[in-house]
Amino acid sequence: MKLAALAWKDLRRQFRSGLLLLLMIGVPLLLTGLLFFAFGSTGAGPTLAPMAIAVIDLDTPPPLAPVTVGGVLMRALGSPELSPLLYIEAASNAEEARRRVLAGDLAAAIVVPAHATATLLTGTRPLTLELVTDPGRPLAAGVLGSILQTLADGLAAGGVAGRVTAELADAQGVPGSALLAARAASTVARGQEAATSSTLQVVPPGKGTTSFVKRMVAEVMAAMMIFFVFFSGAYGASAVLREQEEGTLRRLATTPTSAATQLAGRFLGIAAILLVQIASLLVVSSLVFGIGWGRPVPVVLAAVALAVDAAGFGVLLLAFVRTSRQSGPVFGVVLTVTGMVGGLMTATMPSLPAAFHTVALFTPQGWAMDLWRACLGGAGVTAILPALAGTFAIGTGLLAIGVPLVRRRFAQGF
Amino acid sequence: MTVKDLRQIVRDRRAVVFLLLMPLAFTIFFGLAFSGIGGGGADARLQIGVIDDDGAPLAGRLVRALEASVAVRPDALGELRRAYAAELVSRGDEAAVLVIPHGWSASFEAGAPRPLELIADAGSATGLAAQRGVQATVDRVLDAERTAAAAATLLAPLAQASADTLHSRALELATAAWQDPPVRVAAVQAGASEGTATGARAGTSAGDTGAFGANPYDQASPGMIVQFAVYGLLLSAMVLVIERKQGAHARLLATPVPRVAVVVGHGMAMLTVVLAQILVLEAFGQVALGVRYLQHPWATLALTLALALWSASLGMLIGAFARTEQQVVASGLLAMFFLSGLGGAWFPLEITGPTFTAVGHLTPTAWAMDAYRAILLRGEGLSGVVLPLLVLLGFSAAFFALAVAQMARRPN
Repeated sequence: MKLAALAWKDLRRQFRSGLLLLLMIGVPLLLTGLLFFAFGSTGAGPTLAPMAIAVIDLDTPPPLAPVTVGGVLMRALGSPELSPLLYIEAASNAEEARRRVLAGDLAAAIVVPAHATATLLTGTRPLTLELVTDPGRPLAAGVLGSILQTLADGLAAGGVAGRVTAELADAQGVPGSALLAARAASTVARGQEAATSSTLQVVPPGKGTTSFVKRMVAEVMAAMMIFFVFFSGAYGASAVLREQEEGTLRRLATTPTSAATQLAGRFLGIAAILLVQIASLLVVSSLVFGIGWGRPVPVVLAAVALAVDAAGFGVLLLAFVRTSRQSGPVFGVVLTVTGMVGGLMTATMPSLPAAFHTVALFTPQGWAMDLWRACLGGAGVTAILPALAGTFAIGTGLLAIGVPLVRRRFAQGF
Repeated sequence: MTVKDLRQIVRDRRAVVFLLLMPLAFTIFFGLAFSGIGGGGADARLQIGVIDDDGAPLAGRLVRALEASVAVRPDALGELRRAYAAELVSRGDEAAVLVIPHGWSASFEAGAPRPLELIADAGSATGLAAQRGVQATVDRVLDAERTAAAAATLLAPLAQASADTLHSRALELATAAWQDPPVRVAAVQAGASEGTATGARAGTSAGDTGAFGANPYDQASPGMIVQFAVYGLLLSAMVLVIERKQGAHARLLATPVPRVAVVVGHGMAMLTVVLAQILVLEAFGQVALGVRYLQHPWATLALTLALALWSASLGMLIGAFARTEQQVVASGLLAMFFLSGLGGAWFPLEITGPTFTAVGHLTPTAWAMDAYRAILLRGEGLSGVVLPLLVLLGFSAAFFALAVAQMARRPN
């Protein structure tokens, strides 16, 4: 009864503060919403707006050339398949195009050099297409480079076929290698045109698989939930400091309630606050962002483990803080740094160096993030056991270390 | 007044942590994280699982070509079931999985090629990059095959060697030719010297510089400077709140010290603190991380002053409105998160939609990041950062005016 009363007191005090409610519930949802707005609204994750490019054709093709390099590029770049990514703008010369790229008006400019078509047809030396990129837009540069390389390969295919046939004909002593080369180039070009759309079929990972954007939003929400639950755990523990400064802690020590009961009541209160916070975030984020948190039993176990983890961390931090004024900045620094190392701020970054995950497991937040990722992936109880056990073990370990330190720290109360 | 505030701040040991250690730690951390994304790492290629159900020589040539690709790195999955392969992609363990179906080689040689199957999330940037990388390699391998077939068909009636011999030799020549294709792309940044334009390797693209530019700290360093310019003002704002709570501010107003001197004094202290912080972080970036802040020193200095001024004005605003230290911390955290997230301090606005970019530019942090990118990535000088500087100064004036009005309205 006393235990419940103490816990209820802490619960009421915490939830009476509008600012705290904002930090506990509002801010994680708002931050996730910010990223959803940044990437989720397009449905495609990190992406680029259609890019303006210019094509400067300095080529002087030989008479009767069947195709020209500039013509092929313009047709390909202006095709419907590429229209979501780019569109062509006019530029009078290469210098104007470079100036506009540097100014940010154009994402890039493609310069077809003089005698490009002749170079390609004769094959005596390589043909180099120049891609002028905006140094302030490296992502666009990468995408456009990739597209142009594909088109360049298409141009090269006929040249390779002609060169190989001519070389082989000469080696075999077959006359008319030039004509044979031209026929080979034509055959390969026709085969390429017929086949390009059907050589690779992209298949989504499967029915019911969460899209990249939904997965990204879910992981960000999980990371924000962990960060702010740890914040609440620390703040909840620091209520002891305020009571010490107000004198109520010493008055409580004069009552018949044992120190163990008082401490247990506090811990219960913190755990209750955290469980309410977690439940609220899970429900609201599920409704607002459509996040499927996973199977019910693993999610409940993960919620309890997270609450224990965060409460334990808060109790341990409490042992090292002297005043309530000190607690805010100290908790802020420690939670921010451990959250960063634990991977909460890089949750959705692709291709992170593997060492980051290893280092993250040195923090309680790192284990919690692994646990929630497993839940989001639909894992069952057996599959989440390692992360669940790790999270619980860390939480109880932190409590085991923190509680004696706190009792000694607050010897006159508790 | 300024000296008094500065002494109070510097006396607090947390100042070093808030102002310097945390931003440095975050800068290094995010720079290392960004370095693994698209460039700079030991092998930054996208990992593609490969399931070879075909086993024919053509499939083997395709896998070897993937190994030599600059864009993707094959990961042989053996006889993995397709359903589990899909899970690998969903989990992000593989960027994509390429399935070479049984009979693929034979179908190609028969002239009725079956498509290869690529399990990938085409809605994601990674899936799209994987698709492009695999498609480019598949096209080159198949073009080599078509070349060999065409050459053998044309030469077989005319040459003494058998069709098979001609085919094998032509395939060798074609595969070698694709190692050094006759059409290349040379990527050069606008404004770079002529000498760099011809240095590109065959088959490479500007994407080799990485998603955040050649130096990942070009995003992380200015991003963390902007973020922690907000975080660092917490200490300064706290001085205002404590002074007001303790009554020292009211007592100060009762002295002959002009009210404007009190306000300016507090503001100057905040400006000094943030300015010193930014300069130290820029120096660290220049010396230790290779970020070229000094390539246009006047532009960088002007930006530093404008950013410090804006940050100080925000600190004054928070200090004027907050009633408790907890409110200062909460307001500071909220300001830091939202201004940094919206303003491109965490990720370049280039990769968000146009709406987000437009909304982001309602914040001063976006303009500060634009100015940093203009200096660091475009090599622009003072003239290139005039607009961002004016925006920052405009925000500073507005925040200062609000802070002063609030402090005059509520001296206690």
